[in-house]
Amino acid sequence: MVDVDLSQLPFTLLDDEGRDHVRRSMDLAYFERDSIILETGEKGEHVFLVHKGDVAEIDPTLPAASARLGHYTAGDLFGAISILNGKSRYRFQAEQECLCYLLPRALFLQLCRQYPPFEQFFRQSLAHKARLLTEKRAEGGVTMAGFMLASVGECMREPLLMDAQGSIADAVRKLNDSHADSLLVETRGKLGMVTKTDLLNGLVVEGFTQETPVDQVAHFSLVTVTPVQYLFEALVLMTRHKVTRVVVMEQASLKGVVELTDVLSYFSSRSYVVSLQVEQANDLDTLAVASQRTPELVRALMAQGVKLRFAMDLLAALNGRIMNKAWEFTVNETHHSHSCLMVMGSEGRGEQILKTDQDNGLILDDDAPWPDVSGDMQRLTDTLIRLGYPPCPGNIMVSNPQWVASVSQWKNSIIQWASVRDGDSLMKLAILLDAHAVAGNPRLLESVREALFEHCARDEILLSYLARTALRFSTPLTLFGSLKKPQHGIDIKKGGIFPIVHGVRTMALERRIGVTSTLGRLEALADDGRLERRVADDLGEALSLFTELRLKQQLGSQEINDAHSNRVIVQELSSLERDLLRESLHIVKDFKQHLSHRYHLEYS
Amino acid sequence: MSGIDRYAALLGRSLRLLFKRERDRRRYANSPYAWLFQPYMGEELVALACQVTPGPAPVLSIAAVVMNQQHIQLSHAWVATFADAETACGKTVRRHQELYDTQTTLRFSAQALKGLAEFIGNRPLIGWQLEQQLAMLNSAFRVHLGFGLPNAQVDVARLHQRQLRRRHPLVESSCQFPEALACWQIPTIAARGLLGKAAASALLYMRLQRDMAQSG
Repeated sequence: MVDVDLSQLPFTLLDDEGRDHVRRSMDLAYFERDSIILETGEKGEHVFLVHKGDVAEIDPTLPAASARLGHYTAGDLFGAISILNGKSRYRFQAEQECLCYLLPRALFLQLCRQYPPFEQFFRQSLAHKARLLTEKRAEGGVTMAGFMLASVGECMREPLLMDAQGSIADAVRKLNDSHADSLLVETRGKLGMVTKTDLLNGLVVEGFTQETPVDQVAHFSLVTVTPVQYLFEALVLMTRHKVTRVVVMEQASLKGVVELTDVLSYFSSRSYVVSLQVEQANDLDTLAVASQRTPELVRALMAQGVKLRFAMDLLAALNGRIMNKAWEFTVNETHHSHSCLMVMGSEGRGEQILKTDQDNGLILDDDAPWPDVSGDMQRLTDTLIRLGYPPCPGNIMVSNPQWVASVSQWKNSIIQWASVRDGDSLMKLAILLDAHAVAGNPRLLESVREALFEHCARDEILLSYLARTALRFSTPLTLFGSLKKPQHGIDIKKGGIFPIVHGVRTMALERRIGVTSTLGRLEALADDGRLERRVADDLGEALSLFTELRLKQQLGSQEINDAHSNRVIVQELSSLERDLLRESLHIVKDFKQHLSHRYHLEYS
Repeated sequence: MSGIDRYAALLGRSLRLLFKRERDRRRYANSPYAWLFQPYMGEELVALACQVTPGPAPVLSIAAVVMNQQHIQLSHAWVATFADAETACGKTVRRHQELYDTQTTLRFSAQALKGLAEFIGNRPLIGWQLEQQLAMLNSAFRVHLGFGLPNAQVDVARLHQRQLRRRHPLVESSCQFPEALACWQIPTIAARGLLGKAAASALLYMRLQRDMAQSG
């Protein structure tokens, strides 16, 4: 019997009996250097588990430079898809002398029949594999994982519903009887929330009597979630809307209420502490202290295996609140309504996890009276630097008069950039496309964005110029395996993140999608029918994986702007991670082809 | 002169072997074992590893695995411990089963040995210091079936020595199996016990064959 290590995926999806069966049926094969293990179109007879050596996956129809699709080393598995599909899509060739364990086709098919999860592992999409990886990481004895995977339904409490005609006195009695902090009232088909604070304010500030109907003090703009959403999303919503309870609705019917204290009893990590600190900060010093804690929060969340998407959402909400506070501290309140502070770049997309450069700009109302705008903006930039946001090397900041303009000036700039179409203008357009309002009057940004869509969405030539940038860096698939020194590695930002972000941004411009986050844009593009749902999901997962790998690298290295922080060293990854990275890069490659087809970039 | 003597001795030995083989072939022509004496024309070999505890009631463990130039059919291996149930020490048998990872225990009998002979067939045998390893097994064969294993034999240890001498004529080479594996960079095979040893000698044989082909 072969004593091969079967403690990795996908063999962990079998039971002991199945693994025993695998061990009994494994053969060993030796392949010479450059010999072809499995030819294109050949019927797969075995699943190969590499014991020693390197195997390259090659598409012989492509020119040599781009033919190499993948790379398998010790512990990797290949040939399974060939069996499931009936024949091999690519050629597998030994890069060095190889020893492989062979699992016969008949047994593999039998295992697929007996263990459906095992079969699914080979058939499933990337999204699913990524989830497996997250779950596996989370297994490391972390209680947080339970929280992260917990849904709202597991944590909500029964709603306390009250007749709208009941009086304030009734409401107080009901609250005391059930030891609750809030109750819901229903009037004319609408739900409203009444908290203890509302009751106090109603009685003392508004001067209502105890007999006043309770719906007078209720407020009806509720933040709702569905029972299947992750609990973490509820927390993000609370942070974003500055509320302490959300209502759980399922298809317009009331299911329950989730209170902040309930969530916190699940979640005793630092995130809420940080956001509370931000909210309570009354001066710059306390705000700076709170702001400095966000990297620590990121580290904690990552260590606990939180899905990056949620961590990004939470961080974006937090960063938004910090900026907003900084704005309130530095800019006189009279200017708030006729100006809008926007953040751009990764901040604008809500994909900034660690504090990177500040990319921001200011939009003024056309006739806004603000003589000392440059002085105020200089102070704002300085404040943000103090809060831990380093200045932008490209000087895309409000302290730069170029990025402070009135609505009509912005519109003119857009027209000019769109007609010039040189590198600099295209970059500025791309930056502006990601703009997101964090303080002031968001309607100003909306009108600028509207003009941007109006002017650019139908301009095929401009779109083609814009899309071309996404193809600028080659996908580093060919570099697999030949990298040895740690200072090398794959540039994950150029090879993976940038093509997805930029390609999706271009498509979003074309389809006039106002959302700025890449994942949100993908969602909208899928709804729009511009992208297949499966493609959109895969792209989203690929992006999350790249971001996560990059974040790990960044957390590991001392300086955030270190040039190496974007480089991922393939050899350091686990075999499943390597598998995921390979698949993700495939997805990027397909997406680039899609872009080049859509925007006619084949000959450019 | 001594050189000529050596060659004459070698020639005499191989002639004797040839005659013996031919004699055996005729002698067993009408027995059920006749086919074991036929020359083998195929591509396959059988890698063998044996471990013996000598004594009045010897215990013998054996692993045999079929291989060709590329594949080692670990899934069709023949692994067993031979012991005489009445006389053999129970502890020794258990130790064999543990150490060499054998799961079946057979008695020394014509039936059991026939099973092994049928598995091996007339394919050539390879192994590390094969003659020593086979001594005990051959005597058992003689007692119960009347003949020793007639297969062609390849001693990997001798191949290793020869190839090493060719490459590094002045180096005093060791004759230990683990050192030979390290010397030819044979990766450890994740198979325990005797089967692992048989697979390792198969890999070593493949490696040496390649080396010989390269050095011409």
